[in-house]
Amino acid sequence: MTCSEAIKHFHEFMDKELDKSHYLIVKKHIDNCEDCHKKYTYEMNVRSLVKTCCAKTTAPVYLYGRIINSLDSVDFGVLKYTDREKNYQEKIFRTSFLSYPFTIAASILISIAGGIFYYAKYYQTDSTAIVENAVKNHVVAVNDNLVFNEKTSVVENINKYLGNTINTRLSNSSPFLNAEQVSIKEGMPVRSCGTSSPCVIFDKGGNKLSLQVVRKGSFPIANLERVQLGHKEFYIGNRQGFNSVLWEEGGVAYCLTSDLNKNEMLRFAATLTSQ
Amino acid sequence: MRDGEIRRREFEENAMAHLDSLYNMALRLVFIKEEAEDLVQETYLKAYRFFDTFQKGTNIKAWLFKILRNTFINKYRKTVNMPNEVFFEDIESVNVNPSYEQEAKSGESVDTLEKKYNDLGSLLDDEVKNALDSLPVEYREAILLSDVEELSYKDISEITNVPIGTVKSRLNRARGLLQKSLLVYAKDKGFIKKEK
Repeated sequence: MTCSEAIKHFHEFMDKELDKSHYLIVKKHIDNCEDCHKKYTYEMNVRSLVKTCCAKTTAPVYLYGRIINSLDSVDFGVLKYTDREKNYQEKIFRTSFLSYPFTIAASILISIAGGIFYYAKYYQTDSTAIVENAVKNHVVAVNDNLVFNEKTSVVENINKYLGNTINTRLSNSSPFLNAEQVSIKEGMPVRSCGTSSPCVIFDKGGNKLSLQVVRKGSFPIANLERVQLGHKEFYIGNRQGFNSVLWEEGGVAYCLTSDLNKNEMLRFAATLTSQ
Repeated sequence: MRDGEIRRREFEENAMAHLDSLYNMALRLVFIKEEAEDLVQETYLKAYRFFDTFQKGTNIKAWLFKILRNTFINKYRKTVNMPNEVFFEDIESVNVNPSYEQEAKSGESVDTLEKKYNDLGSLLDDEVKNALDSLPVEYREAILLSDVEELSYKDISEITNVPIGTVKSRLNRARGLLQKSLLVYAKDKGFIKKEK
């Protein structure tokens, strides 16, 4: 074997990716050729320099605990809507209120309270909530598929954003949104976990986003961040690794959830609000 | 013990052991400590949610790295546009210092290697990290997965979603670029020392 042949397989040799017979031939050459041996040592030294440097980076101590705690939220999320979870959510709800009495939480709670008040007063008679309207008028459940029927649409401002992409198979829709938590009640898709609000699932370029109305006791997101976009105020939060964007419109509080990045969701949320 | 508890314990025992590795990769991808923490946390949450889909007996570290990578791309794809190979080659041919090219053509003397390594030995951790961070993201990722985490070409190919041949060529190129970049740092340092 010549030096150039050995060098050609240098990296594979060092990565132990050569088959055994080939490996031994290269090894024999490197052991016997002074120049190649020096090159080999140099390469190995550089590698260990980088490796040692990176191995010194360790995760901060608190991160372990933070992750373990957050696994709990997945465990709770997987459970059916039990009293235990209800308490858990209410606890977080209270916590967020107590920890930010004069700031963000207060303002979002006021908007939710507005929503609840509105809901209590008008929902029974004539709901104008985008979510409910969309679900009632355009989404039908067929063989476990949620099919958005564009042709029967009467809510213009939601229809134009949906295009013809809505044909969301519950079983195939993004597991990130826990679509299995969506069930059909009285012909309407409803999220069984977290809220009794109907849920519209948008398919935006392969990413699923769920939109629902926020109701009493069903708002388990702490640490909301307020964002102004145009004339509209939005609140951004994160729960179980999903981003949520909340806003209030016509006395109803909406919550959009997805694993998309915050800015993209914010832009999408802005297109859903009336101009 | 209930199924859920067994699942939870298995996850904690197997997956959590790679926290430092994932954090290190996350940090080299997003550079900011807080964002790296969030990225790692999201990765673990997703992994836990999909733990049932993990094939037992396969490399859990590689599986976690794949989730980390997907989460990263999903989260930052607006800002980080992963360019393609051709684009990298262009960058390299533009950026290559002509003296290096000549050096390579004339057949580098092996006697200088020892001196080179001594120069590199004077580099601080931050300088090594800067050299690493200056690589295009796909090369940086390849170096970390192979040289630092010592994953196989096959695992890397699955994580990064490219054929093994591409993994090899990326690694070759990445190592070459990294060495050049390290030497530049080392030279600058020597130069500054001499000035004083």
